[in-house]
Amino acid sequence: MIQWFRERFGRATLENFDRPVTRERLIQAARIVMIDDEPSLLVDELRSAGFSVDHDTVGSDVRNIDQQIYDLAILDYHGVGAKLGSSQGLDLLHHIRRVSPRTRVLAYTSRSLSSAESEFFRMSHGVLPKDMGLVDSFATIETELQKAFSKEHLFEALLTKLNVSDVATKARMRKALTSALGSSDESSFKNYLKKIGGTVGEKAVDLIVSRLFGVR
Amino acid sequence: MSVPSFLPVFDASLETIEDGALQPACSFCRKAFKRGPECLTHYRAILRQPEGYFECPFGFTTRTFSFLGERFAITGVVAHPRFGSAREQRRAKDHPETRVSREMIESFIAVLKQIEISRADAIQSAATVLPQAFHELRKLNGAILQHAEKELKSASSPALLTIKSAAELMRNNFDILEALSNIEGMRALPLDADINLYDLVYKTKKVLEERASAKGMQILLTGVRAMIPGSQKSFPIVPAVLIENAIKYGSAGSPVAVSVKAANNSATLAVENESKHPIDAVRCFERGTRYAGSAVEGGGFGLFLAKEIVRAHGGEISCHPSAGRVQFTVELPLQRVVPHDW
Repeated sequence: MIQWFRERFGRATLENFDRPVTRERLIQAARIVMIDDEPSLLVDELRSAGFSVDHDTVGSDVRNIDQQIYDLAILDYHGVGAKLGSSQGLDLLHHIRRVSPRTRVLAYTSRSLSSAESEFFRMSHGVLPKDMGLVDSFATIETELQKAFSKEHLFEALLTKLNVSDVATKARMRKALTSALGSSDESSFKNYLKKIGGTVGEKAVDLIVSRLFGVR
Repeated sequence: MSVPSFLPVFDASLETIEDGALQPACSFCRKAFKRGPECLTHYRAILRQPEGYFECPFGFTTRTFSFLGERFAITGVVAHPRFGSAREQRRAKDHPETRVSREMIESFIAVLKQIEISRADAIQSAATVLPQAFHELRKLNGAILQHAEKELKSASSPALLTIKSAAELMRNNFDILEALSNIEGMRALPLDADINLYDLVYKTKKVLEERASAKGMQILLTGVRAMIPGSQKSFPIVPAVLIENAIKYGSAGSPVAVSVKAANNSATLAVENESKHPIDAVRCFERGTRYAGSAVEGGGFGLFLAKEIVRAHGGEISCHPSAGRVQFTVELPLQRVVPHDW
């Protein structure tokens, strides 16, 4: 009752508009990329379960990442991303976080925690140990996908994409989004973005906005 | 530590003279060393000084050097070029077999330095290669676990369940080894996961059930699904260590009671068992502390590691022994409680 009262009359937050995405919807909507130079039973099992998974064994063709089509990247540290720099998976991680902020990244490794790799763990949204069982791996992936569809994460991605960093603008955008979500009015939010100089019409921004209003 | 040498050597840590592989310590030296304090006083004095050549009180040449951090001295020889004393001349005349050149001694010390460098290189190389080997082992174990799980989806098989449990147990042990080898790295892990404490303990219980039943023990789990913020990489070690210890040190045939509670923004994990082994409630968390002697296998690292991990999670772990029983309690910051699935 208290929760209902808060939702109805309290100060709305982005979290209020989050509903757990059903597993079926996750399978339908989510796009995953596994970037690992080795064959993976996990990829086969994810595909068997119906998930859309690309398996990139090199990590040098980043066109799909640049297109920002992925909700989740499962990223190995070694043996991938050599084209982007000498730090391999870490360079790829920097690239993903920069060009596709809505993509959640799971560090996919079972290596020791060397100081050189600590930044890789720190910059990832989570860790998926390579030696984890399938059931636990699925649970970790699905939890991360839920987060990929959460309003707060998508809003943060939008801010990054629009290069908004000052607190006042962020607060105004949050208020406008909350209000638009309350009335399910995607176009009003798009108009707001246009007014503040956001590049509405750019595919990346459109994609994030449609995700904010779309996936249930 | 001893040093490989073909000439006689004084070992500072043992304060003894060792024979060389090609030349044994001369009889004069042995007798003088036993007879009075002059030899030992001489060695103690020169080993405090920088490496170099010294004449012993009886006229022999002593060349001090270090090997792997320990101090040694080649001794009981008359080396050319000589010091020129009368007693040195006497020793050379009476013991011609001890005559060597300083050049030869320097060559030997150069070989030792080379051995030190090669050893350091080997350690450096191992530091790079061993984590790689460890990684490969983990992947192999992960492949076994995943394939067992895949097969179990289509057919139930006790053998496959055993393989799956063994692989999960192995994974716990890999986690423990890895955390022990890099405590700082473990402490720095981000607490980025929502951990369902009850579900994690339930999974640990399933993994360790076979081990418990081999001792006629049962793991009884009660409580609520308390969520805590934590590291998926390190936190699973905590219930694994506590329940594994309860089985290891618990009395055969007795139950292991595990509970997960939530109150006052705090999640509490308690593991209790009967035990005939006395335990010090404070010292048991120190590295290398063991109480069951050699009767029970273990290195005394589990509780130390559990304490480190719990503290890295902003919690506290404590031990409460009472007559014939011991309870370990872990208090952690509570995120929320979620309903059970059933």
